Amino acid sequence: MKQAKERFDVAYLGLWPITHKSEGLNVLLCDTIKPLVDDGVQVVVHTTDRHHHRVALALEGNGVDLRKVRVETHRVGSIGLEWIRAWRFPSREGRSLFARIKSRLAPTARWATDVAIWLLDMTLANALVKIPALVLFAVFGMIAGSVTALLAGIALLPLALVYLASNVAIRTLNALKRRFRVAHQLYVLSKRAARPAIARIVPELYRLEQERFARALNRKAPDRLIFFFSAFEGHVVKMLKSRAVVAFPDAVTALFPTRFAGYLASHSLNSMSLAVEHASGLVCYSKFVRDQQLVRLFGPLVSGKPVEVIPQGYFVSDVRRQRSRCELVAALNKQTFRLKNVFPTLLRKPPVVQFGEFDLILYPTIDRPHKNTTTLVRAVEHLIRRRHRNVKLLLTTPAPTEDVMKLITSRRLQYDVLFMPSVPIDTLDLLFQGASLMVHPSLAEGGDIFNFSRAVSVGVPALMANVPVAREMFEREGIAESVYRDWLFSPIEWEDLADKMEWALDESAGLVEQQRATLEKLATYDFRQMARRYHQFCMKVAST
Amino acid sequence: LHIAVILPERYRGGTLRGALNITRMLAIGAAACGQHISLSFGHLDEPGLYTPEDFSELRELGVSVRPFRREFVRGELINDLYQTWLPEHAHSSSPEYVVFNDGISNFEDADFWVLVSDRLQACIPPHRPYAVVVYDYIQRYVPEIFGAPEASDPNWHLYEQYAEVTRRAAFVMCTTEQTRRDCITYVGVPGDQVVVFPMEFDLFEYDASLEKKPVTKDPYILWTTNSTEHKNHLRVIDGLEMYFAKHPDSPLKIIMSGVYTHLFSSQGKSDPHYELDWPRKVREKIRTSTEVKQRLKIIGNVSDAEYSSVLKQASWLLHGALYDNGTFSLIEAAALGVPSISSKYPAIVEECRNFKLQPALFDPYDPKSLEYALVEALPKHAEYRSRLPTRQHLTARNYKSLAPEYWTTFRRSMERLVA
Repeated sequence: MKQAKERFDVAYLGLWPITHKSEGLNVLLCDTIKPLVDDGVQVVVHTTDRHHHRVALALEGNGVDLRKVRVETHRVGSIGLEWIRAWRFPSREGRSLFARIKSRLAPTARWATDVAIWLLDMTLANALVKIPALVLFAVFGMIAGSVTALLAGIALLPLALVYLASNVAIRTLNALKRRFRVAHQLYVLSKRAARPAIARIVPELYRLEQERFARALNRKAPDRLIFFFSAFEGHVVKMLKSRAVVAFPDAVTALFPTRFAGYLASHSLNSMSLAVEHASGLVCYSKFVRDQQLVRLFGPLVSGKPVEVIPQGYFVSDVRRQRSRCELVAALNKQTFRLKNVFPTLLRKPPVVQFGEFDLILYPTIDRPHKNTTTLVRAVEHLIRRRHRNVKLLLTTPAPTEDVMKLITSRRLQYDVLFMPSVPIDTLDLLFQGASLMVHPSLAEGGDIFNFSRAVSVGVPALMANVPVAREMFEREGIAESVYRDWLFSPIEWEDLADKMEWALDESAGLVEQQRATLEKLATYDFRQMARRYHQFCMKVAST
Repeated sequence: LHIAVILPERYRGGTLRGALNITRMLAIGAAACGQHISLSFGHLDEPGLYTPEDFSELRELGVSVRPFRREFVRGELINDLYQTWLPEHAHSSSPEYVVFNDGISNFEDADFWVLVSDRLQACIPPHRPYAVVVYDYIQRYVPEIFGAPEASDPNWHLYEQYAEVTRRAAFVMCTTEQTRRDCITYVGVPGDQVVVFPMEFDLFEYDASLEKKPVTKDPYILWTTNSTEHKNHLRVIDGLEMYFAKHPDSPLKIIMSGVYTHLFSSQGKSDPHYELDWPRKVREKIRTSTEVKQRLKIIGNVSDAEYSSVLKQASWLLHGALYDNGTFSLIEAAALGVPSISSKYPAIVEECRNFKLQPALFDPYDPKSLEYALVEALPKHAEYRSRLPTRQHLTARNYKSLAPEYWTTFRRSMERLVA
């Protein structure tokens, strides 16, 4: 019998954390938590009230049973940051004010109509009863209506005026921006004008939130080692009295600084630097990131600290989840409601899609400037328009980056590049099973490309950009270059990618067989082992 | 069974001919299969658009020709009716419906409608079962034809509406596998609702007495085209220029013919479309292509008789489009014994298979490929001529011969897909 239950404390924060299931950090966090929970380790997730619902989205979305995880919520979240977020990323799904009022008043209107029908259904026999009732109803109605309207008007008039004015202004701008380029430019300029100020305010607000969070942790869990699954919370790590192990996934902002200009890159790097400096131990997912990014960029801050390379685990084939082609297509077609229209100026609603009738190319990722989605979009365009292949590309990103958006718009690929953002893990599994090919063109990753094992485990071939972490994934297990060379492509040559995609689609069966054989070798190391290594490393750091 | 074939737009030319042929094939095909059907043909009632002669053959086949006014009715007015008698259709309601008002029954007396083209600015009232005939989705492959990419072009919004009309059809009728695939993949129509019908071809009788004076004394390539961007003029001119630069002694001339091709020369100056972007680019390309410029003669759009005469006297026919649903010009040329040089894309490959055509093919995106095809094919004129399909083979694909097959395909689709 265990003396005391083992415990694993995780901090979940983030400026505007991405809760989408495809987000690599979320996937990795959950794939660490799940096996630990199964092994009886008590997992405690520390977060703020601002992040609470996002923790639930991120964890549940990736299959973590929240009842088995303790979520400690500290009331230190910044309301101001949420306001700015709402301003910068307004919800498009919100219904109009009038539609909402109409739907709220619908039951009352139906009741009033029923009463009116009863009153007006008058005959000589019931007229004596109904005429006085009608008069009373009318008088009562008028008085009640007038008084209610007056009181409500007095109370709500200023609010309603402000709301209506802003609503009208936003709607007018939105309508104008679709019709007139000048108005659209004005709208964009007004938003741009506020950006410098916001860029200064946001990091400061987030720093203050982190410091409050650190103080709360110091009060509530002063002796616990806390694991940070990203290095962006440097101010927390700095102020923490207890030890911290920080995962350092990568430093893409430093690798491609011009591509990340305007992405609060300097703030991120500053936070990373603080996290690295004050961490008691560091974890990287690959030797490449450890040597070429962590040590090279933050060398003096790292020296003398334990740095562990813990590769990601691999998805292994789960035969029970395999479905027949018919079932799969039917299940996929039930998910079409998740397709999102990210081109409101081009499309009124998302494209109508019949899964199963074309080769689905899948790239599950959150699109960012280093994700190289444009190369893939160009290759897909080439396959459709020049080679007349029956393909469509599906991206799981919530929204494309500006480059991708411009490319799709200028090439009018809105019907052939689909967006299905933030899908639950079951839907993501379905998409993988229904895909004809998974392509991962990203220029950089922190470690192994888990889209590879995810695809191959369900019998879908995978192609990846020829980048160091992709090679390391195979080399670490001693797999010869001749085996995997054909699965990699030059990330800057979209025509080569198109050739390779065509080859992969034509030779799918043979290719996936080879990849499966490789995955079987790789999969001797799974998520359970990965989670154990995280836990062991944290315990080791705690004990030193 | 009463079927109404409806031509919802102001179509003449190929689409009108297609609609007439569909009606004729349904009439002849049903009769050949021993089935009695009633047929109506609906067309827009606009002065000067059609003449009674356009439909005389339909009348001889017993088809009722019914002109109509196109009207738009607010959706709620019709949706309210569905609340009581057709609730199952409520889900497919629209803000607006199109009605073909013939002043009699608005074609409600027909059991089934066949819409020749999807070009409808509103949906069909959902109680009406219909099939829609679609030709191609060129914009998927050559998006430029729908306008400048920067602007939020109205063509794309109109396309969304057309696609909605297509998706709501009981089944979709197309004539090539490629268009079928586009219907499914691009428009989103379920695969089992898109049916490929045989492509018919009216083999015209060449009347030697109507033969015109040759447009040039030299041998020539007849380039049939029109003024739209997917016809790929710039690359074709580049390919021709490359060839003629290397073969300056070639006696071949190039005769360009087709709708609005006069915009590519100074003859089109008075046309309001003269300053459009694409004609301007083509004029500029011709101006700077010295070899092509001195060989090219643009005869514009000509009558059928004149076209036959020009085609009959040509050495070769050139077709250089990037993409479409195929072209009858290759078949017409073959019927007159003229071999072709054609761009290669799925519909052309399919057409060549169906009609046993063997043109010299080239990659329309690569001018060098055209140059290579010219180098390869031109010296082998006799050989290409000898490979042309026989007149008997082409006759076997005319509407009369295909009518029974057409009707059988139609009837099976109706039995399978119409409740």
